[in-house]
Amino acid sequence: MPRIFRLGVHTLSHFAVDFSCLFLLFGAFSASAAAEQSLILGFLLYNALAFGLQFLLGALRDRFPRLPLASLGCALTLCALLLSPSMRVVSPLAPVLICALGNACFHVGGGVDTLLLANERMADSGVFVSSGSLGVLLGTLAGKSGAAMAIPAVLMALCLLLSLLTRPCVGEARFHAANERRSFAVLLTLLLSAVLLRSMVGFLVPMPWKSEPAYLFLPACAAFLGKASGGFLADRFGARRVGFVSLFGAAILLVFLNRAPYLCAFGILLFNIPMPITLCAICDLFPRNTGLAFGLSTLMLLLGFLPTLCLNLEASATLPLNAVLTALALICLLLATRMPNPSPKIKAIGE
Amino acid sequence: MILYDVAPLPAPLPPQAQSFPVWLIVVVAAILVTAAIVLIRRAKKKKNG
Repeated sequence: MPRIFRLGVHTLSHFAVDFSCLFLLFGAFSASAAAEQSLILGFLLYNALAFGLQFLLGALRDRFPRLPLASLGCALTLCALLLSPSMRVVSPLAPVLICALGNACFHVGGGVDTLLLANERMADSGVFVSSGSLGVLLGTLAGKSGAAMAIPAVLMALCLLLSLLTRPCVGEARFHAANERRSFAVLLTLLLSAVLLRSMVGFLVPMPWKSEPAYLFLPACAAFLGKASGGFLADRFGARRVGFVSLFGAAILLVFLNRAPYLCAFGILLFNIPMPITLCAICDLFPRNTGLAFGLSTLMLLLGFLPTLCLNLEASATLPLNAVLTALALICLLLATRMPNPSPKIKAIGE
Repeated sequence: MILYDVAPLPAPLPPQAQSFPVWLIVVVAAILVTAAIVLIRRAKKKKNG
Protein backbone atom coordinates (compact mmCIF):
# COMPACT_ATOMS: atom_id res chain seq x y z
CA MET A 1 0.00 0.00 0.00
CA PRO A 2 1.62 3.31 -1.05
CA ARG A 3 2.73 5.60 1.76
CA ILE A 4 0.86 8.58 0.34
CA PHE A 5 -2.41 6.62 0.22
CA ARG A 6 -2.03 5.57 3.85
CA LEU A 7 -1.15 9.11 4.91
CA GLY A 8 -4.19 10.40 3.03
CA VAL A 9 -6.49 7.84 4.66
CA HIS A 10 -5.18 8.56 8.16
CA THR A 11 -5.30 12.32 7.66
CA LEU A 12 -8.90 12.16 6.39
CA SER A 13 -9.84 9.81 9.20
CA HIS A 14 -8.24 12.13 11.74
CA PHE A 15 -10.46 14.92 10.46
CA ALA A 16 -13.51 12.64 10.57
CA VAL A 17 -12.86 11.31 14.09
CA ASP A 18 -12.33 14.75 15.61
CA PHE A 19 -15.30 16.11 13.65
CA SER A 20 -17.55 13.30 14.91
CA CYS A 21 -16.42 13.51 18.54
CA LEU A 22 -16.96 17.26 18.73
CA PHE A 23 -20.24 16.92 16.84
CA LEU A 24 -21.44 14.49 19.50
CA LEU A 25 -20.17 16.59 22.41
CA PHE A 26 -21.63 19.88 21.25
CA GLY A 27 -24.72 18.38 19.63
CA ALA A 28 -26.44 15.41 21.23
CA PHE A 29 -24.56 15.42 24.55
CA SER A 30 -24.87 19.14 25.26
CA ALA A 31 -28.58 18.97 24.42
CA SER A 32 -29.22 15.97 26.67
CA ALA A 33 -27.09 16.84 29.71
CA ALA A 34 -29.63 18.06 32.22
CA ALA A 35 -27.37 19.92 34.65
CA GLU A 36 -24.37 22.12 34.02
CA GLN A 37 -22.27 19.94 36.35
CA SER A 38 -22.91 16.84 34.24
CA LEU A 39 -21.98 18.83 31.14
CA ILE A 40 -18.64 19.80 32.69
CA LEU A 41 -18.06 16.24 33.89
CA GLY A 42 -18.73 14.90 30.40
CA PHE A 43 -16.27 17.30 28.78
CA LEU A 44 -13.61 16.61 31.39
CA LEU A 45 -14.03 12.84 31.14
CA TYR A 46 -13.85 13.05 27.37
CA ASN A 47 -10.60 15.04 27.52
CA ALA A 48 -9.08 12.83 30.21
CA LEU A 49 -9.88 9.57 28.39
CA ALA A 50 -9.12 10.74 24.86
CA PHE A 51 -5.73 12.16 25.85
CA GLY A 52 -4.80 10.29 29.02
CA LEU A 53 -5.30 6.81 27.57
CA GLN A 54 -3.13 7.24 24.51
CA PHE A 55 0.17 6.32 26.16
CA LEU A 56 -1.35 3.12 27.57
CA LEU A 57 -2.88 2.22 24.22
CA GLY A 58 0.42 3.15 22.58
CA ALA A 59 2.28 0.73 24.84
CA LEU A 60 -0.31 -1.91 23.95
CA ARG A 61 0.24 -1.17 20.25
CA ASP A 62 4.00 -1.61 20.74
CA ARG A 63 3.42 -4.97 22.44
CA PHE A 64 0.93 -6.15 19.80
CA PRO A 65 1.93 -4.39 16.57
CA ARG A 66 -0.79 -6.02 14.47
CA LEU A 67 -3.55 -4.51 16.61
CA PRO A 68 -5.71 -2.49 14.15
CA LEU A 69 -6.19 0.46 16.48
CA ALA A 70 -6.97 2.98 13.73
CA SER A 71 -9.83 0.87 12.39
CA LEU A 72 -11.01 0.11 15.92
CA GLY A 73 -11.03 3.83 16.70
CA CYS A 74 -13.11 4.58 13.60
CA ALA A 75 -15.51 1.74 14.48
CA LEU A 76 -15.95 2.90 18.08
CA THR A 77 -16.58 6.48 17.01
CA LEU A 78 -19.14 5.32 14.45
CA CYS A 79 -20.80 3.14 17.12
CA ALA A 80 -20.99 6.09 19.50
CA LEU A 81 -22.67 8.18 16.80
CA LEU A 82 -25.17 5.53 15.76
CA LEU A 83 -26.05 4.38 19.26
CA SER A 84 -26.16 7.79 20.91
CA PRO A 85 -29.97 8.21 20.63
CA SER A 86 -30.64 4.87 22.36
CA MET A 87 -27.73 5.00 24.80
CA ARG A 88 -28.78 8.38 26.09
CA VAL A 89 -31.69 6.59 27.78
CA VAL A 90 -29.16 4.67 29.90
CA SER A 91 -26.80 7.60 30.45
CA PRO A 92 -25.91 10.65 28.34
CA LEU A 93 -22.27 9.98 29.27
CA ALA A 94 -22.15 6.53 27.61
CA PRO A 95 -21.74 7.71 23.99
CA VAL A 96 -19.22 10.33 25.12
CA LEU A 97 -17.06 7.69 26.80
CA ILE A 98 -17.18 5.39 23.76
CA CYS A 99 -16.33 8.33 21.55
CA ALA A 100 -13.36 9.25 23.75
CA LEU A 101 -12.08 5.68 23.64
CA GLY A 102 -12.49 5.65 19.85
CA ASN A 103 -10.65 8.94 19.60
CA ALA A 104 -7.74 7.63 21.68
CA CYS A 105 -7.54 4.37 19.70
CA PHE A 106 -7.59 6.16 16.38
CA HIS A 107 -4.96 8.73 17.30
CA VAL A 108 -2.52 6.05 18.44
CA GLY A 109 -3.22 3.71 15.51
CA GLY A 110 -3.11 6.36 12.81
CA GLY A 111 -0.25 8.27 14.42
CA VAL A 112 2.00 5.25 14.85
CA ASP A 113 1.35 4.03 11.30
CA THR A 114 2.20 7.49 9.98
CA LEU A 115 5.42 7.68 11.99
CA LEU A 116 6.54 4.17 11.01
CA LEU A 117 5.99 4.84 7.32
CA ALA A 118 7.54 8.31 7.35
CA ASN A 119 11.02 7.14 6.29
CA GLU A 120 12.69 9.75 8.53
CA ARG A 121 10.52 12.58 7.21
CA MET A 122 8.97 14.79 9.89
CA ALA A 123 6.53 16.21 7.34
CA ASP A 124 4.21 13.20 7.49
CA SER A 125 3.43 13.51 11.19
CA GLY A 126 2.65 17.21 10.78
CA VAL A 127 0.26 16.52 7.92
CA PHE A 128 -1.46 13.74 9.89
CA VAL A 129 -2.01 15.84 13.00
CA SER A 130 -2.99 19.03 11.14
CA SER A 131 -6.39 17.85 9.93
CA GLY A 132 -7.61 17.43 13.51
CA SER A 133 -7.76 21.21 13.99
CA LEU A 134 -10.23 21.59 11.14
CA GLY A 135 -12.24 18.57 12.30
CA VAL A 136 -12.60 20.06 15.77
CA LEU A 137 -13.72 23.45 14.51
CA LEU A 138 -16.19 22.14 11.93
CA GLY A 139 -17.49 19.44 14.28
CA THR A 140 -18.14 22.04 16.97
CA LEU A 141 -19.97 24.31 14.55
CA ALA A 142 -21.99 21.45 13.03
CA GLY A 143 -22.93 20.09 16.47
CA LYS A 144 -24.02 23.49 17.76
CA SER A 145 -26.03 24.20 14.63
CA GLY A 146 -28.00 20.94 14.98
CA ALA A 147 -26.86 19.42 11.69
CA ALA A 148 -28.01 15.90 10.82
CA MET A 149 -26.21 12.99 12.50
CA ALA A 150 -25.97 11.37 9.06
CA ILE A 151 -23.12 13.73 8.09
CA PRO A 152 -20.53 12.47 10.60
CA ALA A 153 -21.93 8.92 10.43
CA VAL A 154 -21.45 8.64 6.65
CA LEU A 155 -18.01 10.25 6.93
CA MET A 156 -16.96 7.82 9.66
CA ALA A 157 -18.32 4.81 7.74
CA LEU A 158 -16.26 5.86 4.71
CA CYS A 159 -13.13 6.28 6.83
CA LEU A 160 -13.72 2.92 8.52
CA LEU A 161 -13.88 1.21 5.12
CA LEU A 162 -10.73 2.97 3.96
CA SER A 163 -8.84 2.21 7.15
CA LEU A 164 -9.76 -1.48 6.83
CA LEU A 165 -7.77 -1.46 3.59
CA THR A 166 -4.61 -0.49 5.48
CA ARG A 167 -2.93 -3.04 7.71
CA PRO A 168 -1.00 -1.81 10.77
CA CYS A 169 2.72 -1.26 10.13
CA VAL A 170 5.59 -2.71 12.12
CA GLY A 171 9.14 -1.45 12.34
CA GLU A 172 11.14 1.35 13.87
CA ALA A 173 10.75 5.10 13.54
CA ARG A 174 13.84 7.34 13.46
CA PHE A 175 14.00 11.00 12.51
CA HIS A 176 17.37 12.29 13.77
CA ALA A 177 15.64 15.27 15.33
CA ALA A 178 16.79 14.70 18.93
CA ASN A 179 20.22 15.82 20.09
CA GLU A 180 21.52 12.37 20.96
CA ARG A 181 24.68 13.68 22.58
CA ARG A 182 22.60 14.25 25.69
CA SER A 183 21.52 11.45 27.98
CA PHE A 184 18.19 9.72 27.55
CA ALA A 185 16.77 11.11 30.80
CA VAL A 186 17.80 14.69 30.04
CA LEU A 187 16.46 14.54 26.51
CA LEU A 188 13.17 13.04 27.57
CA THR A 189 12.70 15.61 30.32
CA LEU A 190 13.49 18.48 27.95
CA LEU A 191 11.19 17.26 25.19
CA LEU A 192 8.25 16.40 27.41
CA SER A 193 8.66 19.73 29.21
CA ALA A 194 8.59 21.56 25.88
CA VAL A 195 5.26 19.93 25.00
CA LEU A 196 3.81 20.51 28.48
CA LEU A 197 4.85 24.17 28.58
CA ARG A 198 3.45 24.85 25.13
CA SER A 199 0.23 23.14 26.13
CA MET A 200 -0.08 25.44 29.15
CA VAL A 201 0.65 28.54 27.09
CA GLY A 202 -1.93 27.44 24.54
CA PHE A 203 -4.61 27.46 27.17
CA LEU A 204 -3.54 30.69 28.80
CA VAL A 205 -3.18 32.92 25.73
CA PRO A 206 -6.05 35.41 25.82
CA MET A 207 -7.71 35.84 22.43
CA PRO A 208 -10.57 38.28 22.97
CA TRP A 209 -11.47 38.27 19.27
CA LYS A 210 -11.79 34.48 18.94
CA SER A 211 -15.56 34.28 19.28
CA GLU A 212 -16.29 37.02 16.74
CA PRO A 213 -17.94 35.48 13.65
CA ALA A 214 -15.49 37.16 11.27
CA TYR A 215 -12.54 35.43 12.92
CA LEU A 216 -14.16 32.10 13.76
CA PHE A 217 -12.00 30.08 11.36
CA LEU A 218 -8.80 32.01 11.90
CA PRO A 219 -7.20 30.12 14.86
CA ALA A 220 -8.03 26.65 13.52
CA CYS A 221 -6.78 27.48 10.02
CA ALA A 222 -3.59 28.97 11.46
CA ALA A 223 -3.00 25.88 13.61
CA PHE A 224 -3.72 23.63 10.62
CA LEU A 225 -1.18 25.47 8.46
CA GLY A 226 1.40 25.60 11.24
CA LYS A 227 1.30 21.88 11.94
CA ALA A 228 1.11 20.89 8.29
CA SER A 229 4.09 23.05 7.34
CA GLY A 230 6.21 22.41 10.46
CA GLY A 231 7.48 19.02 9.40
CA PHE A 232 8.33 20.15 5.86
CA LEU A 233 10.25 23.14 7.21
CA ALA A 234 12.10 21.00 9.75
CA ASP A 235 13.04 18.46 7.07
CA ARG A 236 14.36 21.28 4.88
CA PHE A 237 16.06 23.61 7.37
CA GLY A 238 16.73 21.44 10.42
CA ALA A 239 14.76 20.82 13.58
CA ARG A 240 16.62 23.19 15.89
CA ARG A 241 16.68 26.17 13.53
CA VAL A 242 12.98 25.88 12.66
CA GLY A 243 12.01 25.29 16.30
CA PHE A 244 13.93 28.35 17.49
CA VAL A 245 12.68 30.77 14.83
CA SER A 246 9.05 29.67 15.07
CA LEU A 247 8.82 29.69 18.87
CA PHE A 248 10.68 32.99 19.16
CA GLY A 249 8.33 34.62 16.66
CA ALA A 250 5.30 33.02 18.30
CA ALA A 251 6.33 34.29 21.73
CA ILE A 252 6.44 37.89 20.53
CA LEU A 253 3.17 37.71 18.61
CA LEU A 254 1.15 35.75 21.18
CA VAL A 255 2.40 37.58 24.24
CA PHE A 256 2.55 41.17 23.01
CA LEU A 257 0.27 41.33 19.95
CA ASN A 258 -2.47 38.87 20.88
CA ARG A 259 -5.23 41.46 20.58
CA ALA A 260 -4.65 41.90 16.84
CA PRO A 261 -6.47 38.95 15.19
CA TYR A 262 -4.26 38.44 12.14
CA LEU A 263 -0.98 38.92 13.97
CA CYS A 264 -2.15 36.60 16.73
CA ALA A 265 -3.22 34.06 14.10
CA PHE A 266 0.24 34.23 12.59
CA GLY A 267 1.56 33.66 16.11
CA ILE A 268 -0.65 30.56 16.38
CA LEU A 269 0.72 29.35 13.06
CA LEU A 270 4.30 29.78 14.30
CA PHE A 271 3.43 28.24 17.66
CA ASN A 272 2.23 25.05 15.97
CA ILE A 273 5.26 24.60 13.73
CA PRO A 274 7.39 22.82 16.41
CA MET A 275 4.69 20.18 16.98
CA PRO A 276 6.06 17.61 14.48
CA ILE A 277 9.59 18.39 15.70
CA THR A 278 8.90 17.51 19.33
CA LEU A 279 6.84 14.47 18.34
CA CYS A 280 9.57 13.10 16.07
CA ALA A 281 12.30 13.90 18.59
CA ILE A 282 10.42 11.94 21.28
CA CYS A 283 10.10 9.07 18.79
CA ASP A 284 13.88 9.14 18.36
CA LEU A 285 14.18 8.20 22.03
CA PHE A 286 11.87 5.22 21.61
CA PRO A 287 12.54 3.82 18.13
CA ARG A 288 10.94 0.49 19.02
CA ASN A 289 8.15 1.99 21.11
CA THR A 290 6.58 4.48 18.75
CA GLY A 291 3.16 4.01 20.32
CA LEU A 292 4.43 4.97 23.75
CA ALA A 293 6.30 7.95 22.28
CA PHE A 294 3.17 9.22 20.55
CA GLY A 295 1.06 8.69 23.68
CA LEU A 296 3.53 10.48 25.93
CA SER A 297 3.23 13.65 23.87
CA THR A 298 -0.56 13.65 24.22
CA LEU A 299 -0.25 12.88 27.94
CA MET A 300 1.85 16.03 28.27
CA LEU A 301 -0.92 17.99 26.54
CA LEU A 302 -3.35 16.75 29.18
CA LEU A 303 -0.94 17.44 32.05
CA GLY A 304 -0.31 20.93 30.70
CA PHE A 305 -4.04 21.56 30.56
CA LEU A 306 -4.88 20.32 34.10
CA PRO A 307 -3.15 23.17 36.01
CA THR A 308 -5.02 25.71 33.94
CA LEU A 309 -8.23 24.37 35.51
CA CYS A 310 -7.00 25.62 38.87
CA LEU A 311 -5.70 28.96 37.62
CA ASN A 312 -8.13 31.80 37.32
CA LEU A 313 -5.85 34.56 36.11
CA GLU A 314 -6.70 37.98 34.76
CA ALA A 315 -5.73 38.51 31.13
CA SER A 316 -3.04 41.01 32.18
CA ALA A 317 -1.50 38.48 34.57
CA THR A 318 -1.24 35.76 31.96
CA LEU A 319 1.02 37.83 29.68
CA PRO A 320 4.22 37.67 31.79
CA LEU A 321 3.47 34.04 32.68
CA ASN A 322 3.07 33.17 28.99
CA ALA A 323 6.32 34.95 28.17
CA VAL A 324 8.23 32.96 30.80
CA LEU A 325 6.63 29.63 29.85
CA THR A 326 7.29 30.17 26.13
CA ALA A 327 10.91 31.13 26.83
CA LEU A 328 11.35 27.95 28.87
CA ALA A 329 9.77 25.88 26.08
CA LEU A 330 12.14 27.52 23.62
CA ILE A 331 15.17 26.67 25.77
CA CYS A 332 14.01 23.06 26.18
CA LEU A 333 13.53 22.70 22.43
CA LEU A 334 16.91 24.27 21.66
CA LEU A 335 18.74 21.96 24.04
CA ALA A 336 16.89 18.84 22.93
CA THR A 337 17.03 19.10 19.15
CA ARG A 338 19.91 18.79 16.77
CA MET A 339 21.24 20.68 13.82
CA PRO A 340 21.67 20.09 10.96
CA ASN A 341 19.15 17.43 10.13
CA PRO A 342 20.55 14.85 7.74
CA SER A 343 18.78 14.47 4.45
CA PRO A 344 16.04 11.87 4.61
CA LYS A 345 17.09 8.45 3.49
CA ILE A 346 14.61 6.13 2.00
CA LYS A 347 14.51 3.02 4.07
CA ALA A 348 12.05 0.24 3.53
CA ILE A 349 9.96 -0.51 6.56
CA GLY A 350 8.14 -3.80 6.52
CA GLU A 351 4.40 -3.71 6.62
CA MET B 1 -6.73 17.39 18.74
CA ILE B 2 -8.01 20.91 18.50
CA LEU B 3 -5.13 23.26 18.04
CA TYR B 4 -2.65 20.94 19.70
CA ASP B 5 -0.88 23.77 21.45
CA VAL B 6 -2.95 26.88 21.20
CA ALA B 7 -5.93 25.07 22.61
CA PRO B 8 -4.60 21.62 23.10
CA LEU B 9 -7.70 19.68 23.97
CA PRO B 10 -10.69 19.06 21.75
CA ALA B 11 -13.34 20.25 24.11
CA PRO B 12 -13.16 23.82 25.34
CA LEU B 13 -14.54 23.79 28.86
CA PRO B 14 -17.18 26.05 30.36
CA PRO B 15 -15.78 28.68 32.78
CA GLN B 16 -17.37 26.87 35.73
CA ALA B 17 -14.92 24.03 35.19
CA GLN B 18 -12.26 26.27 36.73
CA SER B 19 -13.69 25.33 40.10
CA PHE B 20 -12.88 21.66 39.63
CA PRO B 21 -11.42 20.11 42.82
CA VAL B 22 -7.64 20.48 42.86
CA TRP B 23 -7.03 17.27 44.83
CA LEU B 24 -8.76 15.22 42.15
CA ILE B 25 -6.63 16.78 39.44
CA VAL B 26 -3.46 16.06 41.43
CA VAL B 27 -4.47 12.44 42.04
CA VAL B 28 -5.32 11.82 38.37
CA ALA B 29 -2.08 13.46 37.23
CA ALA B 30 -0.03 11.45 39.75
CA ILE B 31 -1.54 8.14 38.60
CA LEU B 32 -0.91 8.96 34.95
CA VAL B 33 2.67 10.09 35.57
CA THR B 34 3.46 6.98 37.63
CA ALA B 35 2.12 4.71 34.90
CA ALA B 36 4.10 6.66 32.29
CA ILE B 37 7.34 6.34 34.29
CA VAL B 38 6.87 2.57 34.59
CA LEU B 39 6.31 2.24 30.84
CA ILE B 40 9.25 4.54 30.02
CA ARG B 41 11.61 2.46 32.17
CA ARG B 42 10.44 -0.72 30.46
CA ALA B 43 10.86 0.85 27.04
CA LYS B 44 14.35 2.09 27.91
CA LYS B 45 15.39 -1.40 28.97
CA LYS B 46 14.04 -2.72 25.68
CA LYS B 47 15.97 -0.05 23.76
CA ASN B 48 19.22 -0.87 25.54
CA GLY B 49 18.58 -4.61 25.35
